[in-house]
Amino acid sequence: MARVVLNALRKSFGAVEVIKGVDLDVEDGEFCVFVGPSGCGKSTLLRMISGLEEVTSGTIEIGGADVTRAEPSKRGIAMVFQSYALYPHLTVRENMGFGLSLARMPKDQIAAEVDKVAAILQLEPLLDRKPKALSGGQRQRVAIGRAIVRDPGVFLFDEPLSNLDAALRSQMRLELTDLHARLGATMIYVTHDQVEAMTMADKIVVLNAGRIEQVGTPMDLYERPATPFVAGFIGSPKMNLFEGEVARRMGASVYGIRPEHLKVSDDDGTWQGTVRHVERLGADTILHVEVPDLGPVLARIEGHRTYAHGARVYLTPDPEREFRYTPSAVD
Amino acid sequence: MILIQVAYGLSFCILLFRAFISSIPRDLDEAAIVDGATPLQVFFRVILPLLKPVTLTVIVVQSITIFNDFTHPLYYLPGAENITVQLTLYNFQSQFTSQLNLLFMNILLITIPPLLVFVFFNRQIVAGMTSGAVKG
Ligand SMILES: Nc1ncnc2c1ncn2[C@@H]1O[C@H](COP(=O)(O)OP(=O)(O)OP(=O)(O)O)[C@@H](O)[C@H]1O
Ligand SMILES: [Mg+2]
Repeated sequence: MARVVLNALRKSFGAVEVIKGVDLDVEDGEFCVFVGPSGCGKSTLLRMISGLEEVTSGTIEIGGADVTRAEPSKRGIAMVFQSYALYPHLTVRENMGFGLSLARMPKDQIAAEVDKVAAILQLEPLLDRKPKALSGGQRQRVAIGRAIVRDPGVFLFDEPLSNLDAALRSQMRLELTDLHARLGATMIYVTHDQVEAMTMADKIVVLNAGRIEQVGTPMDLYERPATPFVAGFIGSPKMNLFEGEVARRMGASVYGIRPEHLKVSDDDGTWQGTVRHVERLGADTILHVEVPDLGPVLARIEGHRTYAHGARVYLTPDPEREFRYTPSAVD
Repeated sequence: MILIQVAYGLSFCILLFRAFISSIPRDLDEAAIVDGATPLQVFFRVILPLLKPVTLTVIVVQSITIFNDFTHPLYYLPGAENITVQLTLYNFQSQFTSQLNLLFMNILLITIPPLLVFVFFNRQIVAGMTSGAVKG
């Protein structure tokens, strides 16, 4: 059992408070993703859970035990770094067995464990190579293998896919999801990519400036974002958000509508505007429409419909899908 | 004499090692710590093996310097019993006459040890030099 519980966790570097009181409960076997913009403290929070960063105040529990002050190796965790952090002077086999050899496990037992994991990750042909003779994707797989060999209760990933190209990234996303289903371990995954968060997570934690903005399943966050920040962060293309006078006229301090929930018509609608840009993605087309009073608005239409630059269009928001935020939700 | 050479060489070696260690990413130490290594194990099992190239460079550069060193032995080691080879060269030169035949014989003899070292350790020395040069 490896449930992770964070209680009022805080972290300061000198006078700067980076994590400002985080309470979180990650269930056993859950795939939990931390997302947030750069510098919001995702890595710091993950490193605190791993024990690489000291906790200023608050507590961390892993599997029912308080590990706030425990050594990283005593916490039953394994970490996969963004840079992979493979030991360059060791072969793949030695890299994967390093933790076990430190624990003074007999050699044949280590070899058996490594072979077992290598089979899961299809690493057998590479076992005797050094990391520098591997491609980025293979290195990533070795780094994940090294984590699995230690058989931890909790896996910690810090942006493990951000150094890979788009095709490999989507493949690794699927592999990680499979791996999670297969191992049944708790996984905590940091990313700034909301697509990774939406596709892999059981639970998404949106962080903003050292605080938790909202916690929920991917569809929860998509359909019921609690704050304008979450609304703008989850979903692609971004939700249209309006504030100030415009929003006040619509009865809110911030008004939001997703591009996919705007009906685009040639002759009739709520807002009238001119097409400024047309982005064709194949299945969909994204229109950038300049609406007087509102400013630029994104709308998503099917791929086969096109509009010329400068065309006049009408936009109608789906009344069921509008978001109106009152001042209390805004800050 | 050895102590003196150590004293003179140390600052340069520390500089080299220090530059090289700082080029090892922190993630590696941290990965080892998460893997359960004690600080000593981090040093001996991760850092030290990675220092191999710079260690070789230091050994090569320092041995050449010390072997060629003339002034320090001259100042610190008076007397004929414990002078170094470089000093023996000057036995054959004087203000008015030089015994050139003996001088060149001596040069030949002196060349032999480094030559032998080079013949046998050629591979490591070249590796050490390049790795020291490119990836500081
Ligand atoms: N050792 C440190 N000393 C001082 N400030 C630090 C230190 N480490 C991180 N910070 C600060 O803490 C904040 C959060 O950093 P963190 O690395 O957790 O961000 P992040 O959310 O992981 O961002 P990214 O998506 O860019 O990786 C940043 O503002 C950073 O400047
Ligand atoms: Mg980070």
